[in-house]
Amino acid sequence: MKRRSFLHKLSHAAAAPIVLPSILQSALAQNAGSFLSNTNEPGRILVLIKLEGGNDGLNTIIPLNQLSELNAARPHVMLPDESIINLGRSSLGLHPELTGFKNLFDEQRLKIIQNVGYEQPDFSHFRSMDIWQSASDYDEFINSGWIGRYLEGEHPNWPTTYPNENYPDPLSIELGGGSSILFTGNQSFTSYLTTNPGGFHEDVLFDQNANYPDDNVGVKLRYIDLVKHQSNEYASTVKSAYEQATPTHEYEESDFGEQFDIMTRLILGGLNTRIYMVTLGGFDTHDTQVDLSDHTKGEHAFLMKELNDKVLTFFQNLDEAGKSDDVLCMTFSEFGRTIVSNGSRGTDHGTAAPLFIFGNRVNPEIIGENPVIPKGVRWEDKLTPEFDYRSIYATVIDQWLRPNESKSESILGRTFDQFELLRSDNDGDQWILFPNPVNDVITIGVPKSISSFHYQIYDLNGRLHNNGNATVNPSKIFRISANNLKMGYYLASIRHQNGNEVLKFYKD
Amino acid sequence: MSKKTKHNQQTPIDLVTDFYSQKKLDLDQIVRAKKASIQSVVNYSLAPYSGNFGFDQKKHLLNRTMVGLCRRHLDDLENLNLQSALDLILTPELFDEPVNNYYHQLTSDEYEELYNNQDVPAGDPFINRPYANNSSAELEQFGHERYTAIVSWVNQRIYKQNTSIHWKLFVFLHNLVPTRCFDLGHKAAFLYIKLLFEACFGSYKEFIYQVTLDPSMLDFLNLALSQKETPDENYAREIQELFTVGKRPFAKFTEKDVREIARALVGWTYDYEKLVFSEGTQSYVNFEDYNHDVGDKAFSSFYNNQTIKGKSGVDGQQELQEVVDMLFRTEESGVYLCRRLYQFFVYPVLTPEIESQIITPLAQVFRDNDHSLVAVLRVLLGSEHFYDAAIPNSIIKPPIDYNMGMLKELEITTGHRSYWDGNEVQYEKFNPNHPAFLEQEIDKTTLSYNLFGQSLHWSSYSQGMQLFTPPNVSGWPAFYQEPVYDMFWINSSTIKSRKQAAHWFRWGVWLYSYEDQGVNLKYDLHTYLSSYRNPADFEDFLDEFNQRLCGAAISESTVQMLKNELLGNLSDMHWEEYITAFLDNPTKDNLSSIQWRFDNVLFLIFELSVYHIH
Repeated sequence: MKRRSFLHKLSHAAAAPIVLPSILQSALAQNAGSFLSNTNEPGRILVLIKLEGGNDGLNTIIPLNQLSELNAARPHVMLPDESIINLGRSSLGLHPELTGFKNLFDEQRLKIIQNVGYEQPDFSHFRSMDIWQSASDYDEFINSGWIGRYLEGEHPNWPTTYPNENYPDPLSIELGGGSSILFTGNQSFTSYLTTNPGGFHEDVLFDQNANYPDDNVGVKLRYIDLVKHQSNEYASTVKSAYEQATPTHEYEESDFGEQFDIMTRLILGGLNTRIYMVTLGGFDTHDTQVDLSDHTKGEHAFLMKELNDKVLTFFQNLDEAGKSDDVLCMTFSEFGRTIVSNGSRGTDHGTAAPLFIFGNRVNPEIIGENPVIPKGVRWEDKLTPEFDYRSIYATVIDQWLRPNESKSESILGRTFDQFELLRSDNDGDQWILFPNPVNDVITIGVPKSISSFHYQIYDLNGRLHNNGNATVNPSKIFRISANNLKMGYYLASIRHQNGNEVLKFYKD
Repeated sequence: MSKKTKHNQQTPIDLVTDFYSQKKLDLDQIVRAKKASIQSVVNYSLAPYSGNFGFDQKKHLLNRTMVGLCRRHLDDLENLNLQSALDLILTPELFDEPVNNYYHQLTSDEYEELYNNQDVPAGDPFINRPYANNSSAELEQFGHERYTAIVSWVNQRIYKQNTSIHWKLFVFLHNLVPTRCFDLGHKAAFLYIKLLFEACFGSYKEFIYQVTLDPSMLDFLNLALSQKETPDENYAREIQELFTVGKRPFAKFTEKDVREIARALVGWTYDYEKLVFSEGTQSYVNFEDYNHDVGDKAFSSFYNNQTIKGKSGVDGQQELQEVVDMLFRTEESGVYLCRRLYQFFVYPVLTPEIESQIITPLAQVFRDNDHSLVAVLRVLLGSEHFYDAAIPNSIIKPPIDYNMGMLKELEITTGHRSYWDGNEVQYEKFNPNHPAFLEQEIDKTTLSYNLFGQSLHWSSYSQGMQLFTPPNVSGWPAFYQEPVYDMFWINSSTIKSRKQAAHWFRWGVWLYSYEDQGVNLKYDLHTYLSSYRNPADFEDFLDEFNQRLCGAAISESTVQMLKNELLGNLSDMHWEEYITAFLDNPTKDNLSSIQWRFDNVLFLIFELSVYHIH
C-alpha cells in the first residue's frame, strides 16, 4: 500500500519530523565547507562593500538590448555605445572601467543580481541606508543591523566575555567610516574599528573597579569602559596579524585602497575575523556624474575604477596566498538612480539597482531580468525592484555564513526566497533543498550526474500534493512552486536514474 | 506570504538594552519604548527653576553651553544668580576675520612664487583679497596655508570664548545645516562661517532664507547646477527633511512637494568668477531667470494645498521667500527645531512627556519670538527640567568639547615653552635671554598655526568630528542617529584618539621642530597647581579636579592607583615637600623632580571615563 511504502521510506530517514532540519543538516554538513564554531581556525569570510550615495545601476550594468531607449531617456549621462564592455551574456554590458569585473565574470567568480530593492522605496539616503542595514520593511523602524543581530545570535554572551580562548579575534571589522547601524546589535556594537592597526599601541586606561550607578550617567560610563576594554584587547591581536604579511599586489593609493590594504594584510596575516566592511563614498551623483566632453570619464567613472581595481587586486592577493576559496564579497547601496538624467549631467535618487557578489565558487547564473525602460519614460518613472534585498542577505546567511542552519529567518524577521549562491560542484552525489523553511519556491540543487528526475511532494499524512517530471539544465538547479502548500512538514520524494532520494522541508 | 516574525522583545532594564529593543514600531511607539531611558527624570516643567543655583547647577549649565568647561567659566558665574548667569551666557560675541599666521610656513616670496599672486603681510587679514586670475588661481584658493589659517582662527576664537553660548550655538548650527564649506575655496568658507556666526542670535527663519543662497550650500546640495527642465531635488528635499519640518512620517510632505520646491528654487546660482577673483566679500549670488520654472507650484495638504504662483523675470526670486514662509507656517517647523535644540543641549532621547510638556511649549516660544533660537534656550536653560538630577553628566562629550576642555583648563597658550637646540632642551623660564625666544613672533604664529590649525584639527578628525567636514548633509551621527546618539563618539578607534589628545600634556606640543632647533609647548605647571586649594596633597587635588571637571566620582581604588603612579617610591611627605618647594620657588631643579611624575598622572586622569561625560 502506498502508505506503507511511504512509511518504509521514512524509516530510512530515521528521524522524527520535529527534528526536521537535522537530517538535512547532517547529510549536507560534510559537504558544506567549514563553518566553524570558533575562530581559532580559518573559515569563511564575508566582505561587505558599501557604496555610499546610491550607485547608478543603469550605467554600471547596461542592458544592451535597450541602448536607444537609454540614449533617449538619459542623454546627459549615457555612455557611448562602443565604450560599453560586452559581458557576453544576457545582452548585458559593463561600464568601461569594469574590466576587472569582466575577467572575474569570465572566471565564473562574479554573480550579478539585477533589480534589487524593496517595496515602497524610500528616497532619503539616511532612511534607505538604514533600511538596507537594518533589514527592515519600508515602514519598520528597526534599530539594529542584520550583521549585528547575526553576530549576537552566534555569540549570545557578547560583549562581556570577549575576547576569549575560542574567539580571540574581533567578530567583525569596519574599515571605512564610523560605527554604522549595520553592526549594531541588540546589546552593543559588534564591530572593531581600525584605521591604523600597525601603529604604536598603548592601552587605554579605565577604572577597573568602578561602581557606576544604574542611571543615565552610569550607563554612559559603563559603555565607555566596555569599549576601552575591548579596544585594548583587540588592538594587540589585530596588530600582530597586520604585521605578518605584505600583499604582493599593491593597491593604488586612495582611502578605499587603504581599507583594502589593511583588510588584505589582516586576512593574509591569519586574523580569523569573519566579517569585514569597506566603504566607498561619492555615489550621490546629482550632477557631473560624467564629464561633459567624454561620458566615459567623470565622478562615476572614477568610482567604478576604484571599485574595479580594488576588488580585482584583492582577489589577486587572495589567490596568491591560497585564500580566495574562503572569501565572499558583496556590494550594497541604498538605492539606484533615476532612469531619466537631469540637466546637470547627473541622476537623482532611484529605486532598484544591480548587486554584485564575488567568490571563487559562486554560481555564475545572472539572477533577474534586464531592466526595461518604459515607453515614453518620464522623470518620475523609476525601475521596479524584482528582488527584495533581503533575499540576498538570506542567501548569504543560509548558504555562506551558516550553511543549512536556516538562521536567516530569525535574523531577518521572516523567510525570503533565495537563489543558489554557490556552484553545486559536489564531490559526491548530493541533493540539496533550500531554503528551508520554504516560502513560495522550492529550489533543488541537483548532483552533476543527474539530468532528469521525477518528484512527488507528500505531506506527513501521505497525501500527494505536487508532482512532476524535471529536466535539469546545466545550472543544476530546479525550482518547484510551493504556493499551493499549506503550512507544515513535507517530503519531496525524488526518483532518478540512479535511485531515490527523500528531502524533507517545512513550509512556512 | 508568511507572517512577519517579531524579534525578541527585551525588557528595558537600562538605557542600552532599551535602545535596542526591536519591535515593528511607528514613531509613537519608538518614543514610548525609549521612556525607560529617562526613567529617573522627575521634573518635566518648563517653569523657571527655583531651586538652589549652586556649584553643581552652574557646572551643569556651563558644561552644556560652553565648548569645553574650564575654571575661568566657573569663576565667571561664581556670584551670579540664574538670571544673571543666563544674561551673561546669552550675550553675543564679536566677530573678526582670519589673518596671515602662516608666514613661517611660507614667506611672502615663497607665496608669490607658488601662487602667482601677492600675499598679505604677516598678521594681516586676507579674506577680502582677490585671487589672481591666472593659471594658479585654482591652486591658490584651495591653498593649504590659508585653509589652516582659517581653521586655526575659528579654533582660537572658541578657545578664547567668553562665558557665552555663541560658539556652542555655532557648532549646533553647523551640525544642523552643514556644508563642506571649503569645497569652493577660502572665501566661500569664510562666508559660510560668518553667516552661521551671525545667525546664532537672530531669526532661524531668516537664516534659512540666507543659507539657501550661501555659495557653499548652493554647491553642496546642487541647487547651483539645477536646470529648469528637470530640476534637481536635493536641496528641495533637505530643506524640508533636515532643516525645517523634519522627516516623514512626522512631517507629511510628499514627493511632489519636493519636486515643486525644486521648481520654485531653480535659477539660483552663484557667480564663481566673482567669488574667487574679485575683491571683497559682497554677494556672489545670481538669479538666472531664464533658468527658472515659471509655472505655478501646487503643494500638498501638509502645506495647506497652497499654490505658489510662478513668476518670470526677476520676480521669480520672490518664490524663495514664499517657500520659506510656507515651511515656517507649519506647526512641524517649530517642533522640529525645538527637538533638535533639546537633543543637542539637554538630552538626545525624546519621550512623550518631553514632547508634550517641553517641546510643544518651546515650539510656541520659538514662533512667538520670530523663530529665535536664543529665546527658546533662555526658557529651556532656565527651566526646572533642565536642572533635574537625571540630566547633568548624561551625555558623552563631543570631540570638540573634549579637546577644548583640556586645552582651556590647562591654559595651554600661556604655557611653558622649552627650546630644543639640537642637543639639549632648555626652558624659556630659566633662560629668557636665549636667542630663540627673542623672536617672539615665531612662537606666536606657530602656536596658532600648528596647534590650533593642525594638531587640533586632525585630532578632531580622528575622534570623529572635524569642523567643516561633516560626513554628509545630516551632520554628525552622534547628534541624530538612534538609538546610540552620543555613544557614537566612542568606538575602538576614537577612544584611542582621545587618549592621544590627552598625550599633548604628557609630551607637549611641538610648535615646530627641525634637526637643530625646535620649540615645545607644555602647560605651565606652576600656574596650574597654584590654582588649586591644596596642591601639595595629591588626594585633595584629585578630589577638587573630580568635583570641578568630572561627571562622576573616581573610585577609591583608582585614586590609589593614580597616587602610586605619581609617587612611585616617594612618601606622601616627600611629595608634599617637593610641591611646596616648587610652588614657593619655581626653579628648574624644583620642577624637574615633579614634572614627569605629574605629567604621567594628569594624562591618565583625562583618560578616565568620568572625564568624558558632561
